[in-house]
Amino acid sequence: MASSETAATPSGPARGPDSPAASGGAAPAAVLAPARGGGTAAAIRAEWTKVRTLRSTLALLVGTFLASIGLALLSGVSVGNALAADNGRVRPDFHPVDSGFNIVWYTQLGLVAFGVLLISGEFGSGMIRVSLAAVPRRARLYLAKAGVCAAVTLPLAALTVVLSFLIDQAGLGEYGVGVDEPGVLRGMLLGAVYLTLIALLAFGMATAVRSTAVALGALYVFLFALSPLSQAVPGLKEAARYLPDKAGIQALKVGADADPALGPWGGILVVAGWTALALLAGWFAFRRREV
Amino acid sequence: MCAGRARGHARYVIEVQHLTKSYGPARAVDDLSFVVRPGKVTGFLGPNGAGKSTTLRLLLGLGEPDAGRALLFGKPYRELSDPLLRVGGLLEAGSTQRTRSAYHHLLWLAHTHRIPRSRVREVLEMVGLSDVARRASGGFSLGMSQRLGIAAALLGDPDVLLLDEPVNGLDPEGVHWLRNLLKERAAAGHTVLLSSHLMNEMAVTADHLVVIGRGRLLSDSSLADFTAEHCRSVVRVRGHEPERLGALLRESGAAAEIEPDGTLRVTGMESREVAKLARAHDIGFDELAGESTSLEEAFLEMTARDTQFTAGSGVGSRGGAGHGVL
Repeated sequence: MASSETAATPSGPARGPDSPAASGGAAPAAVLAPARGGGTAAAIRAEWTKVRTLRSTLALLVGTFLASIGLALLSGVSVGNALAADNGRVRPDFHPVDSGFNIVWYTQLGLVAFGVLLISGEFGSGMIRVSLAAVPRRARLYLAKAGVCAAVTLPLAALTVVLSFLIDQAGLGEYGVGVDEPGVLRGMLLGAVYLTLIALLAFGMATAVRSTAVALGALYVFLFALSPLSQAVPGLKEAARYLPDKAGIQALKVGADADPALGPWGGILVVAGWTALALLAGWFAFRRREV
Repeated sequence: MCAGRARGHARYVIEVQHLTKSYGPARAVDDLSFVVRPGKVTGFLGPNGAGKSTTLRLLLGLGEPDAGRALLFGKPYRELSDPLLRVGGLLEAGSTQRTRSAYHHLLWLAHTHRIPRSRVREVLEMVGLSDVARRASGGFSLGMSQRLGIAAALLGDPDVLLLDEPVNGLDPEGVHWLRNLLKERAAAGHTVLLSSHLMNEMAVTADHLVVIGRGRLLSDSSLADFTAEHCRSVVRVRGHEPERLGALLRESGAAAEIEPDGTLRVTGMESREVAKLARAHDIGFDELAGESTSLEEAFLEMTARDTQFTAGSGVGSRGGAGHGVL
């Protein structure tokens, strides 16, 4: 049945005569009735519906997948040919496993955009007001969005990482390796996790700044321009190891770029730390923001 | 004013208590208090920038008041469980992502409250958007966007409707339809609060009026009381000695002023009494006509006076003594 209070008689709301008059925001959350219609599961389902019914988001995800696969094929074949010709255009410390995971750095471009658009599209259109009127508990809405971001990204990232690795190795031909090569299965796992963490990082940061353009600009600089720039500054080189992209490289690479001090698991932990920071920043901005 | 405080229920469906909200130095809502009861259409009236939208946003929990409270069913909106089943809000037409279809917009909204798909089709039918339900909402006209917003507000079949300027952009047929819909819902015992800056629209839709200006309450009364209180009779006299007649009228307690074309405008006295007074003092006149100010005029006068007061330019001359409403 309808939650007892909804069954208002035509004459009026007929609420209890007691008037607790909870002042301001802090009401005892535990007292609130368990959601009948709403609830967290319903909010997650609604967020999933939003993702699958927006053509631009779908196009972005499909495009990211196809572009990654295409790049893997192109890179595998061209590097394979260069190796066969021995024309010196392949770096001497070439490692086939690293080559297979290079695609991740292109895949993340699309997934960063996905994480950003998941929230900035709502701020830009004003739909966030409709969302918050439907799901007024902000933590619930934020978690539902983050959950859907992860739930969409993780399988897509896993599929993309595995397929692009295999296709790249196939392109490399005789220089390619199989999945039994050390570090490959771990790299596939951590690659999918890395991409998911980066999408969540983008989502958190976009929630903090709200605007699509600002979020994308800041993220692309932060993720892709900062570490090359920092290489030029002597003092920063050491600190740059802990930037998300550099740490992410450690999670996947086994060749010359590998940094034994951090290691693959250390690398992914550092990325997770950045993601946690971004999600927290997003939450603190979102928690009380006027919309 | 504020006729509602008297006795009876301790709780109202909508309760705004000393609500205050500033944006920077500008005070959008200033110590505003009123209540809204079920069973009627309540018009929330004020000129642009009076604070109507801010009040509705605060009611829907989209911002935090600086002071005071905005309550629905005695609670802040954020504490309602299943808010869409209790309150349907429309803030701004076009608050949709452009490439999503109208149907899918309502579908995700329905999913937040486990509302079945059949209800989505039902509200699309109600607002007349069934034929374009699969089209991207970005291509909608303002009127169609407004209808989609109204469909969203009706989705959970809520007890309360909070609509911000819902008639904006609607065609005459749409205005008529919405008016009947709101009246029907009110007659069924629901609570309807809709904002507007158009008094004439409210005059045919609302049963009760809450008028605000510059974030403050100007009037809170039934439409009938508002009309009785503010729509004064005005007598216009085109005569030979307007100054003298004006002075005599003021002596007898009426208000009189001379308009630019030389006509004497008298308020606070019936036309027959004005004619009697003129004849008694042997003042001739060519024309003497009584009329009643319209609701629109009353509203404009009320909000204009409010602006004057806050601008600090002293007492407005128009109403005259004895007629101050505030």
